[in-house]
Amino acid sequence: MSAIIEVKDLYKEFSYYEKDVGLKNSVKNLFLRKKLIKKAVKQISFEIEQGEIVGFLGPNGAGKTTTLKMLSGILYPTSGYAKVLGYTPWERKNEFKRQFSIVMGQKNQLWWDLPANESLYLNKCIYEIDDRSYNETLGILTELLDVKDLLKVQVRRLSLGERMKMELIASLLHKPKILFLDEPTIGLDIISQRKIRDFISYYNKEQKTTVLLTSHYMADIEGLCKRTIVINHGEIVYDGELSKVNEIFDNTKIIKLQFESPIDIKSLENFGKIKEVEDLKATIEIEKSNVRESIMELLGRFPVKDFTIEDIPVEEGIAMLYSKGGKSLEKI
Amino acid sequence: METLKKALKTLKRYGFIYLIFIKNCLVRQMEYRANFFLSLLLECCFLGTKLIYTFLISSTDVNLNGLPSESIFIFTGSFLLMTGFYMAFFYFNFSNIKEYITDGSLDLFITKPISLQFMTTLRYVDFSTMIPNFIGGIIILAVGWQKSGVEVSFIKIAGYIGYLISGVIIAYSVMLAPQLLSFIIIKGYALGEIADALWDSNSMPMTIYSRPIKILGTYIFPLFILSNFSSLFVLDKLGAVNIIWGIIAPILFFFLVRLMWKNIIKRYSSASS
Amino acid sequence: MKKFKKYIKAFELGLQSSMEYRANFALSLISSVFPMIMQIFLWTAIFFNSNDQKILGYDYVHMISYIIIASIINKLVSTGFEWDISEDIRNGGLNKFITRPIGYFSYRVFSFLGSKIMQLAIVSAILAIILTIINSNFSLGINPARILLFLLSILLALLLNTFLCILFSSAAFWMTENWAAFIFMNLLTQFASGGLFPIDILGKRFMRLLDFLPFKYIVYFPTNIINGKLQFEEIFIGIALQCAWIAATIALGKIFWKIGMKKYIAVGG
Repeated sequence: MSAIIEVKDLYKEFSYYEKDVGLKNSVKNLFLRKKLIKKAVKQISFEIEQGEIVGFLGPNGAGKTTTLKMLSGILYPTSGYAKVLGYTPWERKNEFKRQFSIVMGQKNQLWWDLPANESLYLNKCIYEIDDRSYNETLGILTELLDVKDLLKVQVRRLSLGERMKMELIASLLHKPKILFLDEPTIGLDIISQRKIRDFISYYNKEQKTTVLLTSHYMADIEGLCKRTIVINHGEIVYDGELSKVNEIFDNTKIIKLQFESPIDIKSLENFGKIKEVEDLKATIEIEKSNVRESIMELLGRFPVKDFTIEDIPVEEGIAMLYSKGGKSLEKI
Repeated sequence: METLKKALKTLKRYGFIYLIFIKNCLVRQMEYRANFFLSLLLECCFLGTKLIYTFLISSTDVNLNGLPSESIFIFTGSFLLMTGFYMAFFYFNFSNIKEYITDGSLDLFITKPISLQFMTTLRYVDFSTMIPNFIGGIIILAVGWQKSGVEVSFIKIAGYIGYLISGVIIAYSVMLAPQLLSFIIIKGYALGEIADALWDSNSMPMTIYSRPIKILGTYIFPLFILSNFSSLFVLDKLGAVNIIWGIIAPILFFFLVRLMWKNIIKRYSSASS
Repeated sequence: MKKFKKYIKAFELGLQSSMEYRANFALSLISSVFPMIMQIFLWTAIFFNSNDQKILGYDYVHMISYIIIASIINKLVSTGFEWDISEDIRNGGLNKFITRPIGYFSYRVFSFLGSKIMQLAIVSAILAIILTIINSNFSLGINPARILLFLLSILLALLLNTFLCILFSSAAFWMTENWAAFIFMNLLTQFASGGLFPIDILGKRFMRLLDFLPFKYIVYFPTNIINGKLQFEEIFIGIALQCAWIAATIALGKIFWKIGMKKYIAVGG
């Protein structure tokens, strides 16, 4: 059983020039500039089977988009190996291009001033789709995404959510075997986000299209992916079932409290780890299993005006993952 | 035989896609009618200034290093036709290239199973700058043709059109090159300015230039081929060497710019973040 | 004075940005040389092949020196911040200055001067060298008095161009396609100011028409001072007219801006 995507020791570094602020430095820049190197992706390896939906999770700048660009052939790696559908992506063979699609949130491939169907037709010609398949696929996709009557509307008049749907259709006309999605729900309202997620999930089940999705929204990954690869600072920090990651996150909850009058900080310490204290506000970390009990006691003991129970933010969770020796949870 | 069939099929496909580009651009321009007409009007003004100058120079009745003053109209006409063609089919694409880099569109183009160079350099067609230059160019050309007493023969017309085509290919190759260099020099919009300033050096017959410049502009950075060769041919003043060079040069420089393109894209794919 | 500090900062920012784009600056200087070279070759060819000493009212030396000097002056007095102003109008950046548009102009002009200082310095140096060369080879009759008047006229030309720029940029209040207006105005200015070629070769009738417009005082007039073509009386009259045109442009600018600002505020910025 060979994987549809194979990545081994993929490494990518960028060089760039430093620019300091201020007049003096501008003059300095006339003569010499400091060259810096950023290591975006540090020898990552993983394999993906056909039909999987895998999420790439990580904070901004972690290397998700860079990895995706290498897998789609946009960037050459500095070193390393990757095979997608049996092809080396950066060789950019046309046969390879005809079998995958990439959609980047906030970047349009559709012509802005023209109705969506014109751009779709252009794609038909570019991917050499025959009339019958085109009409059939178009019909199905517009039905699924409920945009049939929007085909004749100019892209610039569509809402962000509708545009995203059109982008997805444009990328699926040629029935690709692999779909790369880079931050597909960024900027969308909650309802559109959900609709897009449902669609991708459905499409993946029906067509067995392999989906690789990057996001920094947990909700995206939770909604779609069984497996998630967590990337931080260019390294894979976790690769496995999402539920296990959730366990780590879910073990701890954050309680934010607002008080009517000043309280004794010391007595708060009994409840959990105090993260932040300020005037009449406090933030505590509490074990999930203790949350209900703790809340009831807190409300009883202290003059609580308002409180919220929150999850650990992704970035922090990942940092936790890192420091808790995330490596021990890798590759189940 | 197989490769020929395949080549024809690809040509047909690209031709069809190009027609879609043209259609899309036409629809788009008609959307923004005000912009279209303003642009058209402006281009007419530019045309006007060029014509005023041409008439002025020809009124001095002086011969320009071997060319009678009436012949200047042929040169201006050819120049206008070339400008029209360049502005319509190439200019806006070339100047958009740096946009594509900064907004990431280039990345999306790369993933499509179609020649990146084709997509990037030919995607847009502009009709507002095409029309005044084409119409003005043909009229002035006709005026000059008649005034200079050139006969209307099949050879003359075929040769003229032939060298015009050669000029178009040279225009594509030679004007794309500076834009590609701006990949490496970030924010180098002035490179485009230089190329555009050089373009206008064709508005007068190349006979006015000194020998070193003529050689530079014909054989090394061959902008002069653009409109001079076709005009000189029609006046029987295109030497034997240049008759041949006018056929070889476009092929050579197109090939060179293609190599340059591939190289630049490779760099881009290795570097960009 | 604290208020003044803001303008100094604007100047500094302009200066910084001009140094950032240093390659662009050098290249744009080079690119403006080409049209000049083409003109020189053209007129050399014309004079070379002609028996006449004077063509269209100019002899060879004066024609060539005009072309060179005019090109340099063109670069020297060029503006270009109408785009920045129109951006502010279109994007509501003007809101910060709404009660005091005078503060806005000062801000813009200082920023512009900051970005222009380097260009001014370098181009002036070039001009000085060129003039020395031309004068030593073909005496143009340059003396200290003339130089002084020349410098004055250049300063006034720059001011005139600056205020014209401010006036033109008000087009952004009424047109969304103000880019067309700007390009048209630029073309008109280029043509009528004498930056491309000595406009008097277009004939007496055309010159009469230009007398009613400020443009010829931007390049044509200063060039002909140092060119030796104008007598002292004519120069003094010309300078007075330059000042008059500056005043007129400021007045016109104020009117248009006032009307424009009313519209701007009415629409809500």
